[in-house]
Amino acid sequence: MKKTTKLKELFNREEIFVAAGGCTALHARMAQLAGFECAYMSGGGVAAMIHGMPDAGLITATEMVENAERMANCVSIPLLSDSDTGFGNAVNVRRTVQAFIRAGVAGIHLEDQVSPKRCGGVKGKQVIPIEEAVGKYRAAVDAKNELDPDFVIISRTDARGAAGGSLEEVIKRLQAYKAAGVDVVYAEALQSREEVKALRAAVDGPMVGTLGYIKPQPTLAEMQSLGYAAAMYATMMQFCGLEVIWDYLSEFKAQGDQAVPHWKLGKTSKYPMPHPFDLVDFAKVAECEQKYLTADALEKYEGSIGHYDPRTAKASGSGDTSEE
Amino acid sequence: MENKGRFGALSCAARGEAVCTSIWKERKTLKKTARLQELLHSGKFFPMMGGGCAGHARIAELNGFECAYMSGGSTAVLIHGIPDAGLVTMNDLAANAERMANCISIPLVADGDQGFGNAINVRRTVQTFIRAGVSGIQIEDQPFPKRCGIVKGKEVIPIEEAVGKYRAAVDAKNEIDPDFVIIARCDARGASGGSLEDVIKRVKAYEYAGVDAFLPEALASREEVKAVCDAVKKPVIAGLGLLKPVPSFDELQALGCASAIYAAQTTVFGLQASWEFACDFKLRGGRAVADWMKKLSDSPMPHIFDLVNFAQVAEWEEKYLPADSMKKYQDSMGPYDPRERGVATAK
Repeated sequence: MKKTTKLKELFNREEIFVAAGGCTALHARMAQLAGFECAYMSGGGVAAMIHGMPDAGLITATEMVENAERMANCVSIPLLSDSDTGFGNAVNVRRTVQAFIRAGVAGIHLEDQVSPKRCGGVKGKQVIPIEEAVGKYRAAVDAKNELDPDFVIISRTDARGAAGGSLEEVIKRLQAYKAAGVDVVYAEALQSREEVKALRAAVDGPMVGTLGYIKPQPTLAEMQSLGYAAAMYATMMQFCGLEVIWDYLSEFKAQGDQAVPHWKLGKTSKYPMPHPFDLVDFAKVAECEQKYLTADALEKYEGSIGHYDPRTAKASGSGDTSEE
Repeated sequence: MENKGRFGALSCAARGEAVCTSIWKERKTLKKTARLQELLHSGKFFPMMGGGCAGHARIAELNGFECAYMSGGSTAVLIHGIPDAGLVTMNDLAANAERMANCISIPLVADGDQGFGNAINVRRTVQTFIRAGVSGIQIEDQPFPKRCGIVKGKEVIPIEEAVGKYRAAVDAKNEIDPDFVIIARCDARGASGGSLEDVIKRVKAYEYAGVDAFLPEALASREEVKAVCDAVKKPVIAGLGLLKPVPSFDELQALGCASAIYAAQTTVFGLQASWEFACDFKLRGGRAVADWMKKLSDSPMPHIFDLVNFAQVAEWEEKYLPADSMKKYQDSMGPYDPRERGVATAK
């Protein structure tokens, strides 16, 4: 099945699914290997981790698409991607949508912020007029229908947290965006469970969200009962990873190289991680060598030294790009 | 929309040749890879119109060619300004091919050099080119780094190694799109110690490995072309480097060729015009500019903005932007008004 079709099916099923967020190809692989059904590319993660920049509309469409292409094509689960404001007006949105489709991405969320945008959790957001936003979503829907109607367009409204925003504005906008033909709606920065319920009562169709502002944060089961088709954990992988790196660096600085053996103790973890080379399926290289290289080319293995032998390594699941 | 532009893109439609499309619109009737397979098996010779940039691909389509071709040499020279000596990376070629493939509705065949490594690298190269929207790739049996087919100093890899690479290429495309065309380019004729016999032995082995077509490079005569065509069942694409005089399409068809690659002409002739203008401009300054502008306005070539369908932007603005944002047209100045140009559409 095409990955876009898979994602569409996930959005239309009863049971809620998790969009496991990260920002590198290896994050996507890990999400797949850990058994998640959908990987997610966070624009904020790309800005911070790949470019070392704030999530403030500095990253270009090309940079986002390029990163998404690598993430999408090393997994067999669908990749949902952040596409910020679509990088311009409705005409630019057409090109952005088609570039994401060609990159192998299965769906994007596109927000109604003024460009340059900023992270949904950062103060100082503004939204564009509703008429202009509707035109952008119509353009996005037309553009995907030309190439792949199963590609999922999610309209994200930032009208709740934007200057002068309100729940009423969110509802009005998501109704209008739905009428423009988007597949899924996403309200950023809803402030309470009551707001979620009011939105759910007013807008049809699949809904995705993060609910980071609501305390205590709803569980997955609660999100499902609130009517969500999917929960995005946008930054889960990069934040955990960064924290571990920070700890390691601090400990190394404090204890010198004595910290190194301690960190190797990760192997006693409750969830033993596969060898990093297994994560990216080095075994497949050995398999292909066996299959396509001449016999004498394989003599290189005899008498060469290395801790890791890809011929005896464990394959770590589908890294190939074929569609089932 | 009626074409009101003086050199509107529909001028080629008037010649009954155009299969042009809007920039980002794809022709949906047939996948481009399937279309390329169809062309190769049609029994009718067709030229692969070469170029080195997206503008060249547009020109090929607007002039009624059925297949465009991305030359690795032109990419090296025109896009990177470096020699065609294995310096351009796989990503460089794929990025250029992606732009060329996706601004046209005809299939694009791309030069994939020697696949950028061994059989394992070839797998990735093939799948990257497929994702870029390319319809076929040419992979040659030279060692890495390769060199241009007409440059001395070529070598070929052992036949067993080459067969493994082509098997990997075929498996890789079958996983994603079996219609994608794998073209085995054989450089054994012009390589150090090469011969026609070696070429024939190799193309037969490559055919057995499952490739879709062949490009025997640097054959020395029409007889040699015919001998290769007779030796295999799959389509042969001619490389014209050493054939003098240049054969006609009819002649190539009679020799048994399905197609031929005209790899560098668009790039070379375009550069020649740029060179001549630069010399003239250096000598005569503004008077040269005036003369060349006159030459341009007398030319039947569509306006350069029409070549890339600027009118489509105005059409989309009309369709998706709020009405008051169209006011920008009322008091802004510019000799070119995209609202008045013809939108070229797929036939």
